[in-house]
Amino acid sequence: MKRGDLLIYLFIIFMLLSSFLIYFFLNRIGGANQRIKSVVVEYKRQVFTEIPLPSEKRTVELKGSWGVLILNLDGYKIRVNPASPHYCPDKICMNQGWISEPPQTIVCLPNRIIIYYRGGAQIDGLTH
Amino acid sequence: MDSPTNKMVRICILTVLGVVLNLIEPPLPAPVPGIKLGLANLMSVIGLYSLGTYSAIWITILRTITVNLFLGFDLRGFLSLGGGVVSALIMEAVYYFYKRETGVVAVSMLGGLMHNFTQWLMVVILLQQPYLVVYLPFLLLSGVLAGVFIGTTGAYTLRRLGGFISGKDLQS
Repeated sequence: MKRGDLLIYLFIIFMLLSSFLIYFFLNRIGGANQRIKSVVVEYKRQVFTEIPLPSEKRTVELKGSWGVLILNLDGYKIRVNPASPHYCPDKICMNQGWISEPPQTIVCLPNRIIIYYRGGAQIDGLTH
Repeated sequence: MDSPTNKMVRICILTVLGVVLNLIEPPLPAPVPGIKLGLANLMSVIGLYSLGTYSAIWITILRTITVNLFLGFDLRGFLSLGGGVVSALIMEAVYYFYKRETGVVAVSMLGGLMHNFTQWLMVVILLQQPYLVVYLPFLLLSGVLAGVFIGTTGAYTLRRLGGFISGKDLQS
């Protein structure tokens, strides 16, 4: 190991530590007030649909340019059904499985869809 | 042996190797969905340390554009271009100013970190979603781990083939 490597390692450790600190800080705030109002499905940065929570165990079909996307709802938990027939080359949204609390999100980059919770943690105000 | 044509041809050979690595990588099993090794960056690191300054940035730009010609230009292509160019620029700068004081592995780790950080920043700016900060620590960690692998592999390759790639073996 050379002398300058140490500076690079310090910089990398600093970046990793600060990002993990931000992550745990946001998680702690998210755990403090569990007042989730609804789940929002965004398409191209515009609200496509908003479903109030908690919901009984049911499925929701969203039709759009991507085909039909099937969402499973159960209380506060949400997932994209693994058998959902929408256009999906990566299958990242399906493989993510259930999400249960903010700031967890389901993101589908190919279709530009973002599924996230409204209410609960006030991350919006904090990060802006 | 130090003519511009010679260097250009060697850069092109490394670029083509990078394109092939980039195209054969997706079928390989990934440990976590959405995270990949970035084998093609190996060629940028090898080029930087065998051919000298300005080669990594050229290899990265040419490789990304060529791969996008194969796969079609979309959001993923632009993210790849942005991340690759920024990480190559930073590696070039560190190599240019602190060549004697840094090693291959550390520079490659820095490149991997900045690659993923730039991509994350671009996605945040494009989608305007502050919630995406959730992914940042894991992206940075995976970038550093990929950098360790790429740097170690590159150091071994350079030890065995460095003179062959740069053409210095043929001069004597």
